[in-house]
Amino acid sequence: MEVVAVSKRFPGVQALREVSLRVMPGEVLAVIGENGAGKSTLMKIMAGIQPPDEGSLRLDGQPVRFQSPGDAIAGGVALIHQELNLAENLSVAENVFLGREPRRCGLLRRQEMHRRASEFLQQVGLDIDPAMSLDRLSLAGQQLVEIAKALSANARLVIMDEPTSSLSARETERLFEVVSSLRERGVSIVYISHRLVEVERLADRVEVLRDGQNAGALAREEIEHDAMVSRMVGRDLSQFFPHTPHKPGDVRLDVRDLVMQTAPRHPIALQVRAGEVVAVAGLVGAGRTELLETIFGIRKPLAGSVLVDGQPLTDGAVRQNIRRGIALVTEDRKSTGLLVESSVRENMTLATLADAPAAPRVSAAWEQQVTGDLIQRLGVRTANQNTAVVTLSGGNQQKVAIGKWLLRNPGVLMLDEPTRGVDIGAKHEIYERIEALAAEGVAVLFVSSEMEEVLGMADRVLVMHEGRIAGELARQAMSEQALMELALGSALKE
Amino acid sequence: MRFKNLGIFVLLLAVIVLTTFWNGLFADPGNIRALIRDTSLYGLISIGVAFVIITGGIDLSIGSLIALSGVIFITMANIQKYEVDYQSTVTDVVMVQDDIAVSLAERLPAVQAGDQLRTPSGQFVVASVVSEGRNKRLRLSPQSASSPVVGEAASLLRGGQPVRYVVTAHRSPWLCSAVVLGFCALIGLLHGVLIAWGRLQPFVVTLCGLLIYRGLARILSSDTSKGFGDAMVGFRQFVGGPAFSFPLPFAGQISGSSDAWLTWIEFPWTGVLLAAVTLVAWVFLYQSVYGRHLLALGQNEQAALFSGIATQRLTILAYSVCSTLAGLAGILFLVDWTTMAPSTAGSFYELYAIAAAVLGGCSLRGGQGALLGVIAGAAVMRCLYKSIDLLGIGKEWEFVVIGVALFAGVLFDEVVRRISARRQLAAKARAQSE
Repeated sequence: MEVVAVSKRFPGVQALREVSLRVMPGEVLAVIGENGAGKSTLMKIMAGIQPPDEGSLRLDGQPVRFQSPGDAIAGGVALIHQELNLAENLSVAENVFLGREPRRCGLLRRQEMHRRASEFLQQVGLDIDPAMSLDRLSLAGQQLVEIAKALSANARLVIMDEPTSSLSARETERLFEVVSSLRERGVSIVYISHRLVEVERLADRVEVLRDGQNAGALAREEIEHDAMVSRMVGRDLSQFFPHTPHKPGDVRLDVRDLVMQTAPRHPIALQVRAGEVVAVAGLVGAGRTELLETIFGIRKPLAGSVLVDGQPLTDGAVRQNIRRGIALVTEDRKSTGLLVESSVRENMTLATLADAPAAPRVSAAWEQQVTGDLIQRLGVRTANQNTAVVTLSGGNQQKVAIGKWLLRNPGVLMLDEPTRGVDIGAKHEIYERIEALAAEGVAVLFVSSEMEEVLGMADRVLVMHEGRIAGELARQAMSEQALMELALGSALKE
Repeated sequence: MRFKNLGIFVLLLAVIVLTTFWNGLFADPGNIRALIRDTSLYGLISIGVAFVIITGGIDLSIGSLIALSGVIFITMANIQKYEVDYQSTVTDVVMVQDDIAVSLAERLPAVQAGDQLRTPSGQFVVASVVSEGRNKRLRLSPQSASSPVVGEAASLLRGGQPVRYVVTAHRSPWLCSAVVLGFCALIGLLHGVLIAWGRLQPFVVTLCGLLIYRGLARILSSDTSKGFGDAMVGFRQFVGGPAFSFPLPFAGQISGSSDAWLTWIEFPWTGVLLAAVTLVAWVFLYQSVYGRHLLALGQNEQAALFSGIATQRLTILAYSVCSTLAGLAGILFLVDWTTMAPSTAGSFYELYAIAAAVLGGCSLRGGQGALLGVIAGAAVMRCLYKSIDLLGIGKEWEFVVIGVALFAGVLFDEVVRRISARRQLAAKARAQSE
């Protein structure tokens, strides 16, 4: 398949600008790029979900026009989405053949369907009863079912969008085996991932996108971490993180033997001092978000206590905890961080309004003043204070989510994936803001899945593995290798 | 305030203008007064349900609660008629200024101001009651001002003959109102607790409420119609009566009821009550922290929770407000109807209220509120109802007409919203390309 000079414009964004790429039979092509680089849009165009504004697609040298995902599937192109598109209440076999059920005179041929489904399931290494209900499978299993579905439709090109984002290490290995066996049978794979380690292992060729444009291609022998990063970022990494050594002050956050509900056997103790930036690293599902939420008081711990500036927090009483000086910028700003349909001003003052000078009255003058200050301090690019947050870019939304807490002048600031879905420029500004806060004496604790971010920002890193802290590394001892070993739990097993 | 819900005001104006154009009687002072009164009652329950809808919930129990609060009010009032034997109980009858004062002996039930005293010679309204030890002294005013007071007093004083009086007695209507409102607040509290703490679905909780309260109303009343009879005249006259009059130009000429270009129209107390409730709700929603928190909760409960907002308490408050206003409306509806059939009274009213709230600008997804729009929504439905009558469309068309009009209103809003959303996007695109 070949993509020739495809452009796509959405209201307000040029998502793709004359992007071209070519996939050879039996090849794994990795498409990498920062969030917002246009990867997902390109995949949607290739799978017929959206038409391109300009440019064309060719299949085996013939130009094609996909009007719908159905056209693409008929042409042998299948997209496996980040969020799977399966019917959870149907059986595995019914999912594999959804819409293409083998039938005779309009009646379903169930046995035939199960027999053929088993064949395809075996090809992806799933040895399960095709009659079982899909929701009994793990997410990884469901993903393999989706691949089996693609195979059953004679897909010759399978596009995988962040397939490992919610898989464990073992499940990831299994997926890699399936990908390799598909490649051997001549199926082309377009593999989209943030995880450069995976790309290094798997890809035959790498295509880098940056700001909706082709930003370079790497052949097999050139695929190497730093080469990929510098093409993705488009600038030198060392300037990107404004880290300066801090002089840690008194302990501001003191977590004493906190026992989370998700990991009842491993009490967690940690301290963050004034002016310190501490990262919590680990794989998805290691319990990092749960840890922050338990400290914050949204989740109740089974035992243990949390002290902020020497004052104990109360479980389940977020309101009081916030008043004691703790703040949490959540991972998913759309569902837990912001009121996306409300204005910038309403979001900025949301957590502080009840303690504002005029409370319980709302003082419009006070709101305007503090919001104006925050917009300036954080460099939020918005038309005015009344702009709905949903219309802002991801980076500016995240600045609002952070600004909401800065208004309270917290002593302890926790951030969960502070730069997820944030463009490069805003990322840099957020890092600078975190640095400035630490310099002012705020204790910062942040969770991040981005290795560069952890290595670039943290004074100290705590690595979590399956609900416990597997190890701690000081800045001098931090390396990608050391972090990964702790995150995979290898140190624990020895 | 932004007029994001312009459609409903346009619709209201259209209904009023068109109906008046086809039938001038719509502008009749009596009709306008009745419309204001009806709108007030439906407006109260609509504002109540608006609070719940803002949280993203729903309350289906309003209609049943109206019936139940009416039945409780009447049951609580315990209206009874007593026959009073003149010779044994009436100890003294004297004239006090223009009124008659009757002294009654002990063992009489609680006679209230506003009650009736019926004698063979006519009806009297009890103007005031003074207790004198174990006896009571009733001051009576004659039912009709023209009847000769002295003659009536004389007929009461006819000694020697056994004469029977009928006295109605009951508990204080204000006390009954307080009990009903307290009861409804508790019901709302229960709904809120089940939904906020119990994590049950609002639809299910209040659907069960709809069935249970209707059933309780029928059980409590033995499934028979209940009413005031001739009791509590004073209370009813006050609650249902006018607060003030306001002038409306040309209304008399259009309706043909008078030639003066200014017509004075009575504004009922219920309208004043609605205005007061709306004002309080407005201050709460738009001027206080709690209102901002309520809107935040409706828009995104998780984000509100993570921002330290007491989401559960606010949810409980919203359901309590809704049920309390339903109870208040229940009392007012009862005063308006004088009797109510517990099996049908208030049926579907929750749907009228929800329709008014949604038409008025509340999104069923939550997080969006409006008050004036909601009242306009309630007014549209009452005006349409009246129009069907005045324009000679058959009663059987009522629901069709209201349904179609509501649909048109919602459609209009949606179209306006989409156009403005597209403009917003375009503006954003322009801002970013610069």
